[in-house]
Amino acid sequence: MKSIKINPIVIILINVIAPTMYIFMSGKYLQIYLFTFAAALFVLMGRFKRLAGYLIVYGVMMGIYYITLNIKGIQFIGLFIIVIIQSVPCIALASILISKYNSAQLLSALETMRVPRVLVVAVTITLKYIPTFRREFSYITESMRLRGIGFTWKKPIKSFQYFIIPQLFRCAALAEEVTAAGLVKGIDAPMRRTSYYEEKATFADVAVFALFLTGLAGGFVWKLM
Amino acid sequence: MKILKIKDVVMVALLTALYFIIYNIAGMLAMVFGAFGHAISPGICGLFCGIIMYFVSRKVGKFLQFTLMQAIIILLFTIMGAGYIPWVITSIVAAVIADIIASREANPPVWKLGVASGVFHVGQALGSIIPAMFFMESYKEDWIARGQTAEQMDAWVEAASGALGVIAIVVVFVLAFAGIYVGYALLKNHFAKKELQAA
Repeated sequence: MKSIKINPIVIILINVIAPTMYIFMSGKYLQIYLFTFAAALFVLMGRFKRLAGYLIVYGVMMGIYYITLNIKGIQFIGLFIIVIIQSVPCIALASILISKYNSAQLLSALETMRVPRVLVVAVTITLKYIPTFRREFSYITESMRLRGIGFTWKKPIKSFQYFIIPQLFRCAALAEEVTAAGLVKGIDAPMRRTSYYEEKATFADVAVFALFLTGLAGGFVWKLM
Repeated sequence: MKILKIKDVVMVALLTALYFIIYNIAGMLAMVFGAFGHAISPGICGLFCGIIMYFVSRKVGKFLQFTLMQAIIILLFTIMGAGYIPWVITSIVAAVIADIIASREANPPVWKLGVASGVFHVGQALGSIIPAMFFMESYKEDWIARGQTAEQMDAWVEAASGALGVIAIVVVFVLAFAGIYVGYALLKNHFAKKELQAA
């Protein structure tokens, strides 16, 4: 089966609309619906590895929820987890935004939504930087290991210092590089930005979004029944 | 009063990524304290992220820097499907106030930054405290629909309303205020040389 390509705007819109629907319809229905919808979207987009990860994470969290809910004293864990579980389908879809689309595609998508330019640039940079954090952290731990310094719970403030200060100054250095690269590409130009990735809505985009809205409409019917 | 340039926006965006990660870790740590922990989780975040806010103030030091940070956080949570309208409103209003307090000058005193951080994080906390105080029934119904039990919601509402709600606001403010002083203590040597050169 050929995988479909979806405009990132569709994913962003789904993630914006989905959580607000909890106010208007049955939470149980919405939970099941969003879980199924995200899984189906992974299949359609051919993201089978991510689908497997999604199913495992969701399954483990549901398992912890049901186990801890029946044990007095640790019920708060399950009740905290159920708050997170409802965001898992949206987080899984957001993870596609980071892994599948490059910065230029995200910039184009967010600009179409009439979000202020400054905010578009900032959010795109933040979104792309979050996944690199683990790598940055491994650089820090490696440097610490070479100098014979280790993290220890006995000295929490020192350990926190060793972790956070290199990250802060790394961000400062990185800001110079990213700004230079952005200025070369005319990121501060006052006119409307054009992009190679500027895409109009395709049949797949419309179909996926219509399917999502139809499912939500089903939620209203469910509530009336 | 200086305004943000593209370099500042990039710097704030990168530091917000770090803030966002610590915010989520702090939220999980707060889980240990149950319902009250949920109410004060922005304070726990403020304690750990005070150093980031201090760094932003010293490296960027321009008006609307904290508002931009908050706006990025809100957009990220919205994209991740965790946007919540009362939280968005209180967070943005508090961030603007924080900027008025501590971003109009390039090198504000540490206590001013502490107050700004306190207000910034109280704004985040008010997102759940205000609905629990003033729209109790619809707030409970909303979360019960999302899978919470009625008993747990009663505990949440109790922790976020009345005297406990006020205590939660004070705790959040104090933790966030202390976070700035932790940041100052850890970074003062790094900035001392620069400040000496500037003098």
